[in-house]
Amino acid sequence: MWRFILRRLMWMIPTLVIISIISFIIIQLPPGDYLASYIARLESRGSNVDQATIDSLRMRYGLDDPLIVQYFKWLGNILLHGNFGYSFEWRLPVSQLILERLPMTFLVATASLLFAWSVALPIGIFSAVKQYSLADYFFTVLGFLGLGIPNFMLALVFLYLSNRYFGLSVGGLFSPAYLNAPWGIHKILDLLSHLWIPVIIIGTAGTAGLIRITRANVLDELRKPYVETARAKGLHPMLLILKYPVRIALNPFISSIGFILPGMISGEVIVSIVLNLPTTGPLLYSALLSQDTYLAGAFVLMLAVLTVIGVLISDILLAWLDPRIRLS
Amino acid sequence: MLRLDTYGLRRRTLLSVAATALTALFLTTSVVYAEGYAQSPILDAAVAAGTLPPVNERLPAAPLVITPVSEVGTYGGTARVMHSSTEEFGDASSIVGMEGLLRLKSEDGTTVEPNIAESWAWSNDDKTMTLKLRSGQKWSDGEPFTSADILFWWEDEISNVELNPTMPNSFISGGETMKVTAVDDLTVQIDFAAPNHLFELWVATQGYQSQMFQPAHYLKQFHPRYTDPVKLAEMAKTAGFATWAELYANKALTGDVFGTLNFDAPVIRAFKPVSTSAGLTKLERNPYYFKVDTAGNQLPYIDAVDLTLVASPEIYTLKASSGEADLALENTTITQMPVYLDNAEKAGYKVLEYNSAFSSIANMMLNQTAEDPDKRALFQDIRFRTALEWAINRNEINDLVFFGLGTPMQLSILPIGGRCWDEAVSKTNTQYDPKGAMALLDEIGMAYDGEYRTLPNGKPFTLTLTYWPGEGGEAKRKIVELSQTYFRAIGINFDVREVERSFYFEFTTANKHEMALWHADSASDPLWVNSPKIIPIRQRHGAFATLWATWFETKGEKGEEPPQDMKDAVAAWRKAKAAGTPEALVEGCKAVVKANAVGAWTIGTVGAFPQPLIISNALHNVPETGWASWDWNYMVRYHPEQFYLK
Repeated sequence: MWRFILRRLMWMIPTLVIISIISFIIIQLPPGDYLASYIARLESRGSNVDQATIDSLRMRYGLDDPLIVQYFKWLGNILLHGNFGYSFEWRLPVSQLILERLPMTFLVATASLLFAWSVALPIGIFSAVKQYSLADYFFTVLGFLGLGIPNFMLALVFLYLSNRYFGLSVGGLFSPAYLNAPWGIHKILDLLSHLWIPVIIIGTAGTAGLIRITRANVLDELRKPYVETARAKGLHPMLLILKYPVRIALNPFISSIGFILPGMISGEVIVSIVLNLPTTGPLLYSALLSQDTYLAGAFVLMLAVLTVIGVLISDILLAWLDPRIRLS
Repeated sequence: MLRLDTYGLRRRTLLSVAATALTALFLTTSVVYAEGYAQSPILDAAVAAGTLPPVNERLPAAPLVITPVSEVGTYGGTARVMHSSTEEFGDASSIVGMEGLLRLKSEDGTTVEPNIAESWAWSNDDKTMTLKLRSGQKWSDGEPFTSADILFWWEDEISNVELNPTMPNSFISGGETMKVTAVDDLTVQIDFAAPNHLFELWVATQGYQSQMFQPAHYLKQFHPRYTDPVKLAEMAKTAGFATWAELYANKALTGDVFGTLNFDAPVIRAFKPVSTSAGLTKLERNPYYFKVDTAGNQLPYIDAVDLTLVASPEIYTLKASSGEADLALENTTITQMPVYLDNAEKAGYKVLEYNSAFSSIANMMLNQTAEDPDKRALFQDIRFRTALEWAINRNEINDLVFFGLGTPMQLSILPIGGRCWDEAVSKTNTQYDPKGAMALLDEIGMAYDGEYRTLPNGKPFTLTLTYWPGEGGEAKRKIVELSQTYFRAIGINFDVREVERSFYFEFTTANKHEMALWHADSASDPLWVNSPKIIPIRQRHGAFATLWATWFETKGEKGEEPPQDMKDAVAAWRKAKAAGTPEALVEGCKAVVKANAVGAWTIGTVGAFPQPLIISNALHNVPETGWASWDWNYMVRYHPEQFYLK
């Protein structure tokens, strides 16, 4: 087991290096750089930006260095000084920008995840046990609807309805009144009243897949001989189902944990933009659009590191959960 | 020595008029002086406690008096506005304002008038500009605002090669960089090598903070000329910057509404940013703001501003139509008018119709210097361009896209009815005449097989439009869609390619396009003279003749020599710019507009349509109509400091 983990950790390093190079190149790939979009915006405001100013800005931001130099400067700053660089767009250090939004991102991601799991698992088991019943069909249709309707459209509809009929302020996680207020019971209630929209929308997208997978896995197990034996021996049906088939069905849940970690950081981008959530998703999106190199680069690097670590963790968890993997 | 007023009034008449005016002014202001000034109640506590000087000491000796639009307002309230990124702050500027040494008059938007500077004057030869500042003017931290702040900006920022490697063109005239000297604490003199009367227009439209002055007393601690360079380098390292230049850039004032994200820096604007977190930026009133209203109340009336970051246009529309903003202008579009009007009563706001300053939202440009020789010959044929012009049904576009509220026109210089406007010229070739278009194409020799036409030499022909659909909302896309049907109806196989903005510029400046499209910004008086996109003077904005634009920009070194009519138009513009007088400007703008229209260089569609302004019922002193455009910095033209909430 330990050799397995050690080998995986060693392979992580070259993987991460390659990912950092590729992500840096990809961010630079679109023609122009941050300055190009900045200048375009200045021009749309009637400012006449001449070549001289463009050159001096480029020099000041270090954008005239060759790509290799920029890359090593960037990597060196991160590894040696923990300095993730400076965001041109926000004029703030990247680490401050990301850290500011991490708690809310984490909250939304965790809440959506728990919601998705707590809905998908029982429904999936129920669907498998009562296969082809009316309830099974009903939940299947609901799941597919949630999967089929685009997230952002669902988000807009929910937003409009909640504003029209419940008087909730549009978007965000807090009402304007509570945005800068100190934490207290009222602020938490306000947060909860806004939180349900993103949680349901992000959650339902994942539920459909999980329901079907659980249902399929449990069904597979229910046909096996040991289940019949256990029933014949008089084991309580609920205990039987929970102790054996469900344990097998949990495998896909555990192996998907690996991808949850990066999801916690990047958040659900499209829904966050539409709902105006103060999470990291919109930050990443606007950084990519305006080619804010250091912010986007830091994000992509963080996501890559977390994905690699996450996959490792889920592999370990899976090995712990399923003895068959451990002993193979 | 003041020049004669440009309308040629004789000195004696001028003096007598001035004398009468002064007496009247003295009579009114003496009443004001006798009563003293008033301030916002939220400052009373600080003044009573002694932490803030009384209002009479905070204002300059002769503050700028602003006449409110409707009535004298009342103090109080927090204005809420939105912005869609850190670079978009039209709404924020519309409440916070942008203060330059000079500004444009709100009535006509073309006349220069004093702002921070009390007055300015030109020498007889237009080579020297003298600016007089106000005695007693202070920064938001109480320190005096003097000529030292302008001198510091010039000598230690703009002229410092580490901060600014190349001198911007605006400060070069007659081949030489201008000279800035501080004659005394309140007088600044700028000397040019050649007459540069238009510089006052630059100061009024671009010379906001950081563009013409910086708080010298505050920034000296970040500059190696005044601080020990070793200590400065250390300061930079601790703050996380590689060089002192980066630290300085982070601490200095910038041109946008935040002023800076360094909340310690003093400002001159009506509001000062105090905090920003998770998309909400808060600004508070500046107790040393230098303007008062006609009753002696120190402006602004509004106490604070809340600026919310809104990530998508849909949220912007939803928030605006739920009444969550006191003012919404920068992202409103005419196409969403039904949504705004539906919710106006319930959410407590009203929708005013302001004018957008686009003279043709979708301006199509055939590249007359296209790479393919057959197509180049075709595009250079004025009959082909005219045929495309006649094929477009502009009235239909107006009805379908703008509810009939726009005006079909060629690329012109707004406002309609303004001094640069010529009704007949703007309507050149805007008639809908597909039969005439077909006849022209037949005349050129483009064989028609009932569906598509070929080139005159018989080869098949496809016309490709490359454009960026942003900034114009859905209007651009709809117009392009409609144009496809119009052009196909006369036999042109029209292909459309949507690209991203940076790519659009790279593609067109590399002369790879056949037809491009852009919205006609900088098409208003007086902004056109600084960057007229109506003539091909810069490669970046000369998509209708890229190689000729390159020729103009590089003064003949690169590119190809343009035809005589373009040379004449550019010469007319240069002449207008050099002279800088109103008559010269009018002559220039009329010449370039006519040249573009007659030469069919660009295909204009519809422009001058309204843009909705949403203001909450609580916001007052907002004019019923006006211009919604960056050309006048949105509402900055209408004195946002006198808006008030009730």
